[in-house]
Amino acid sequence: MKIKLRIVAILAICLQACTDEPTPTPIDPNLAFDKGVFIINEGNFGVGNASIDFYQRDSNRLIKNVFETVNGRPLGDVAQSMTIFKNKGYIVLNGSAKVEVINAKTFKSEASINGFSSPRCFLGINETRGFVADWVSNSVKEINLKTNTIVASISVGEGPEALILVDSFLYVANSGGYINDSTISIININTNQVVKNIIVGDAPIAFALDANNDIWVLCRGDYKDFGLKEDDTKGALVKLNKHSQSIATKIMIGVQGDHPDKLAITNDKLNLLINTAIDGANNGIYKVSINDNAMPMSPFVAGYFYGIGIDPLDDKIYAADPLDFSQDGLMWRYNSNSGVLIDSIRVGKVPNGIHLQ
Amino acid sequence: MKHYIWTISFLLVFINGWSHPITDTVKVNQVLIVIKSDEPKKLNALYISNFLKSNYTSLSDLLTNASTISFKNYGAGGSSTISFRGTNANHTKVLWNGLSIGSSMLGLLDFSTIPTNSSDKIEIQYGAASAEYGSAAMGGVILLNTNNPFENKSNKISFSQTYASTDAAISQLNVKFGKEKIRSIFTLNYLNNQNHYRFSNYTQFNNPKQNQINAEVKSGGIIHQLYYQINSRSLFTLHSWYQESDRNIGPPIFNRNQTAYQLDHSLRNIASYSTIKNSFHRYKWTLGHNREYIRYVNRIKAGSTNLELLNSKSTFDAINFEFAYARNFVRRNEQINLSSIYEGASIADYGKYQYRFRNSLAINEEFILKSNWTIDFINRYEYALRKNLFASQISFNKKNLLNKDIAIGLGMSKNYNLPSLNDLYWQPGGNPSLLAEQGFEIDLNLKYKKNSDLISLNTYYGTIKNWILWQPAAIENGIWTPQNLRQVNIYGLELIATMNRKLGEFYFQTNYNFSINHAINSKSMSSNDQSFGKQLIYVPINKSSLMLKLSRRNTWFQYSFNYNGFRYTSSDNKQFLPTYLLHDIAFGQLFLHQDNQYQILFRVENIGNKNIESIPYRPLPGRVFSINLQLYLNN
Repeated sequence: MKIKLRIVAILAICLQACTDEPTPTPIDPNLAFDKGVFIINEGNFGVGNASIDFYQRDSNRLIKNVFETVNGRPLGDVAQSMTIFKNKGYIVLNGSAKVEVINAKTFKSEASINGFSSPRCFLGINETRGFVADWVSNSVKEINLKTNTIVASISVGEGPEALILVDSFLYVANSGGYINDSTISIININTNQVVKNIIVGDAPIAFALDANNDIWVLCRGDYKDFGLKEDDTKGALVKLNKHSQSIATKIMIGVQGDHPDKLAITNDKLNLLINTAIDGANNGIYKVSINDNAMPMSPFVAGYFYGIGIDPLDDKIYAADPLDFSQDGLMWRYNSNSGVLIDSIRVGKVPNGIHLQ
Repeated sequence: MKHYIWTISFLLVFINGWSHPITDTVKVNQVLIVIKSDEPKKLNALYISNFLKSNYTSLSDLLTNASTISFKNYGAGGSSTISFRGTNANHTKVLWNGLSIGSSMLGLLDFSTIPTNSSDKIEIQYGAASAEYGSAAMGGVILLNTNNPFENKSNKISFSQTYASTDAAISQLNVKFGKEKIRSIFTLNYLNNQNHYRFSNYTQFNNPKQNQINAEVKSGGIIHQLYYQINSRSLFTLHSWYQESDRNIGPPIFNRNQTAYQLDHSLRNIASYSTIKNSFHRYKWTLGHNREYIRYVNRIKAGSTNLELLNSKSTFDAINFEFAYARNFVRRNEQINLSSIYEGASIADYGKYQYRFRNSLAINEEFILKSNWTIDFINRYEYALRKNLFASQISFNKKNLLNKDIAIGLGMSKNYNLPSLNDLYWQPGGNPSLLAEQGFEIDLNLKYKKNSDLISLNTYYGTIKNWILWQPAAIENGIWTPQNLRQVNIYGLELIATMNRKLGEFYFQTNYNFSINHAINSKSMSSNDQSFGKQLIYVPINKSSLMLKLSRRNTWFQYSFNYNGFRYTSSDNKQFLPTYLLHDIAFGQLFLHQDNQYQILFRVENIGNKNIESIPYRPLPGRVFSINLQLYLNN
């Protein structure tokens, strides 16, 4: 019997040794971040696996997870956006309720700005002033960029999602948060007062500024009861006249339940790219001229995308594909004139956008 | 590597050192150590021995440290969900005295809310068994049962009090009393754990040491069980259990301004009547009710204000009526089960009250053949969600193989798992047209049992089709919906060894668990899907644990380790949580006074004070000291 027991023991030991832990990727100490594309991977909500990848155009090389690689600590939960302003990068982390400030050349962490509820995007004004839209607290926070602290809070509508600055007016898209909103709040940044609220359409979520300096607002439309398409409101593309601060054009998008959600503008500022479904299907990126009065019938690029962006240097469209949301996603690249697929890059988890350096 | 050395040394020392296995009951200087030799009828089932059970107060801690099953533990105050044979939390069925105690609304059970003194006997059945137990029994079945008090009619009080260095106090009381025909069992449990411990926060500059915050847990429960022997042929039983837990769930370390609060109320009632007629016809009627109420609030502190992100309340009710008939012949056993289950749930996110009825019929035929062979057939038909569902199982077993101590079994089963009510009705995204998951499994079991030594080796291969996975319906609208998308192949083995030896005045007890579980995604979603062929997330491929108890007279020393292999956290297997190996030690002393026993135990868990996580960014406690006092009063 002893022999039998010994066999079992030896068997157990052999079996135990059979699976090795994967080895982590080694760190390259000489990383430099110029001339490239930062890819924002928001990661899974509540899981804390957001990351930024850096794509070097010249060498066609992708450096993954640069924040953690350089700083030796994870970036945080849900990277909503990244903005480079005055040689500093502002990475806005919605789930971690913070903004990470990094040196844009070295990616070395310089500060973490705390005190938000769920920040969505950053907009820099000058050396000392910046603004962050804070979704749950229904406010826009002013940041002192010298001290990296919140210095003021301006109440706006429900769920502020996007910001754009035109002259000395900060336009805030009130996306609706947990309820619904259909307004843009306009803040005079000299007084930090809301000077006007404009009704544009249900759930305004993104801005673009065109060649004529007109402001475009993408409205997602309201879901109301999530289970019912019939009570949804339609999405819309709205042009605002910056002088009168009122609606100049409004193009309705698709049918109830389509819900456009991403907006980008081509480098010549003449065409808008909108990520949406049309008529409950035909998902993809639609191209609309700033002079059009209607949506095109078919997508410029077909597919399901989680984010879109355009490279200002080579004009390529980047379209984010999170696949199953649990594995590394893809960034598809398309020619912005023809809509033809060029290639794809395997990026981090749940990519949602790009920022250019 | 270190853990192999531990394993090797312990096992080899045992095997070589003491070759005289002890018999079932031994007396070591008046201390009666009862090694129960009873074992489950099934070859693929095992009881958790009492020497393991008495060390833990919650079922998740017990099974994590003393079985092959792995758990996903959401940190201080958070829930603990099971993964048995690589399957999901909704694939293991847990029955308390025959009543399913998971919630079909969530499709799972939080094992951290189940105290170990809620049952006398914990039985683990390895492998799929839908034909016998119905939906959800895909990875395995855990049976929490009370011993029939008429089998041991003495009146007893046992009380256990534990204090731990996380600022925790845990009390458990069991009182068994009664008369010739009627007996009662009262059980109380209470826990207050402040979860005060420190960890290094590696998401911040310079890994600062921080205190766990907002993770206080209070829970309490009362169980009353009544057994009434109506006459020599009929028994009436009543089991009632109310459990409440009120807890803050510690924030993820990347955002310590998040606070989550959860309140759970569980009420379980079972009434059953069983009778025997004409000496071989047995009948049993059971009526059960299970209610699970959960309130969950999630807030975030922004500056000086607290903002509410989520506030939900849900109530789930299941009412279960079951009739069982069994008869035994010389070479044939037969059992028929009829059951009707009503399940209903109320939560604002469904839009309206949602419910379903499930009716099933199961027939079990067992044939006892020559030369110790038995063949067992079980077939189940269930009508639920306007669909016909079938499960079946066939197993061949042979006892007394080679010599008289080895048994071998081969089983094949076809199984199913119904979607949870959340999968069907959650708004947005719930998908009422979901199909039941379908599984097929082959099991080979080998068991050696001699006196109190036991070695059990199980190997299995299975496949689960129509595996339900939540995915974005259309990426841009952010709404996720469950679909029958995945196919998962599972294969692996489990080795469980229990050995007890006596050498002079020393008495050794040991239990070793080892498992390999592969759970492979076997269906590709697209040509870019890198999760195809990869291990499912949070399923460790390797897991092992050892517990060793060395006693001399009334004093003992105990050592245990728990090895948890790395677990992938991304479906493409690029990210993972590292392997951990934890060591615990304990010293105990027993005092005897007349028929009563008093025991004091000092314990150190995680003696290496390692930082560990079962879910990323949810740190578990480092080194924990505890003291435990137990008293057993007889008559």
